[in-house]
This record gives sequence, C-alpha cells and structure tokens, in this order.
Amino acid sequence: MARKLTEDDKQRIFEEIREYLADELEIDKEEITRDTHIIDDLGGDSIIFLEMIEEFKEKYQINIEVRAIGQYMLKNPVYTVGETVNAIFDIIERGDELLAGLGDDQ
Amino acid sequence: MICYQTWPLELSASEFTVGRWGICRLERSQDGGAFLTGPERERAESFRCRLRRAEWLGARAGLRRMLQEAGIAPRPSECNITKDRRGKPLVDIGGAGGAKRVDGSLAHKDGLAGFAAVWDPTVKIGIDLEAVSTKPWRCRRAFATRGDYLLDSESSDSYYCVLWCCKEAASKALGKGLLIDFRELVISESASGRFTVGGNGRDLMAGRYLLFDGMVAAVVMMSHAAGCGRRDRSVRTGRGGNRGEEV
Repeated sequence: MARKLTEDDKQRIFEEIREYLADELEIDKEEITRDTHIIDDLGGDSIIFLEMIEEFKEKYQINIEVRAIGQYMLKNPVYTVGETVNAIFDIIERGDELLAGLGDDQ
Repeated sequence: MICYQTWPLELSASEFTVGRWGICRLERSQDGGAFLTGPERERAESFRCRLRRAEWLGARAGLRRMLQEAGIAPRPSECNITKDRRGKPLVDIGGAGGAKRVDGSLAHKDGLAGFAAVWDPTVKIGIDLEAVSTKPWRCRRAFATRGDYLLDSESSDSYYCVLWCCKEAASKALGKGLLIDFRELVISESASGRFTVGGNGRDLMAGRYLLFDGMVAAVVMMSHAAGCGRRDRSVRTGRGGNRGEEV
C-alpha cells in the first residue's frame, strides 16, 4: 500500500537506518552520514541490505518482491546511506508501483 | 598475503579443470605485492573501513595469483579486473596472444576475501562468503523455501547462513544480484558440502560449500548446456586443494 511520507517521517526513517547500521556494524552512529558508503566505509554487505528491506517491508506492510527492488536498484544505484534512505522512501511511498516508469530490465 | 588457498573446479562429465576458487586474507592493505595495481591501491585507500580495504585488495590479489598459477595469466600486470553495471567482475587478460576474458567472481566478509574464475567459456561462476550469524535467519522469508534441503538440520546455527550463501553465489553466477527471486532458487545438498541449485523444476547449477572458523564459503558454477536443461553436464568442485600457505 503506497503512502505519502511527511518530512518528520523521513527524518525518523533516516535515524532508524543510522541506528540499524550502527548496531549491526558496531559503529558510532555519529560517524554515519548521508555520504557514508555502506560497503566501503562501514564494511556492510548484501545481507545488510536484504534485512533492512525486510524490516521496512514488515513495518510499513509493503508487499513487494526483492526482485522488484533489485530492478529499482539497477536504475537507482544504492551505495551510500543517503541513497539507501531515498530508496526506502521510494519503496514505502510507491509500494508495488515502485517500478512504474522504470521500464523492464531483467 | 598471509593466507591463500585454492581448489580446482571440474565438470563431472569431463573431469578436466575449468576453473579454480579460493580464499585469502591480507594482513595489511600494503600486502599483495605485484598482484595489485597502483590504481587499485589508490581506490582502496579511499575506503574508511580497514577490513574492507584488506578484503577488496585481497580478492584481487588472490584472483590474479590463482590465474597466474593456473597458467591463464602468466603476468599479473596484464590481468585487468573491472565490473559490469550489475557488479559482476570482468577479468580481461592481455598479452601477445591478444586479450581474452574469463568469468570471475569476488566476495568478502570480515576481512576474508573469496575469488573464483572459470576459463571454459561455456561456464559462469559465482562465489559468496558469509559469517555465521542470526542475520540470515532473521530475513529467511526473503530467500528460504520448504523445497530447500541441506543435510544439516534446520535448527542448527549455520543452516540459514549456508542456504543464503549458496543462493547468493548462485545469483552471482547468473549475474543477477538482487534481480532475482531467491525463493525460486532451490538448494539441494546431495553429499556433504555438495549441492545443486534448481529452478523451474530442473537442476541449473551445482556447487560446493565449506564451513570453517564461523564462516561459510560457497561457489556455484553454471554451464550454458546445463542451463538449457542438460542435466548430464552437472558441475562439481574438486576434492583436492592446495594447502594454506604464507607468502
């Protein structure tokens, strides 16, 4: 189900993502900015992305396949915390309409 | 390079080695010698994570050294490693005989690097490394199915880590990354550490995994022929491996 996020929602989600990464990767939250590279700077990996996606899918009751998110990420590469945050905003706001307008790229 | 170990990869129908895979760990990002290029060291210096630097460089150094030992790339400096837009490594080997490309795959976790390459043009390869943790269990609904079968019990700590590692290696062999429904890849372990990856009702790929020191490493090969449904051209990884060594 798609929804419109407010600026407060977006700030809260950004903080949730920072806290998640800080906990999982044992890094001081204050070191994590929008420009931080999740793999190269924090030592993250694909399972981190997968778990984050699953957590937000459950929390916001989004019914979307990982494959669809993979297609979205092919068009909108996700390397930094800022890019991840924007992707999560899109996933929550657009839900199963996430791929509309992106074209098919299997 | 303080730890380096590789194993052969063979097609069961022919028994000749079509590739190799291995793991290595660099103690310091300055290690790796002639197996790394200046631009690679520069790029790694931009990483804030020290372990990530060692992993990134270690994967490239290990891959080049393995290709040199296999006689595929006698001069490491002529082995150029780039990535396509989906992140799949492209390994181009230059030299007097002209450039040739081999299919490669890289992985990293907790300072350890994994690398694999096949020089049979009909085969694609994928490798993954994971640390045994509760993370894969927490997101098991995204990739695990009732059709998956490992000899190890589902209640063991490592079950979902092994399953995820095998499926991610398979996704890398397919060159798909997250562009795949991991639940459509069905893992079936036939003998200890040996498994097949099915999809749409037939075996597409075969591979091998290792559990060691709280880590899982999995490698998967897919031959084009097997992908077209020829199950007799299944892939297996060799039993014999070189011993770990220090350089």
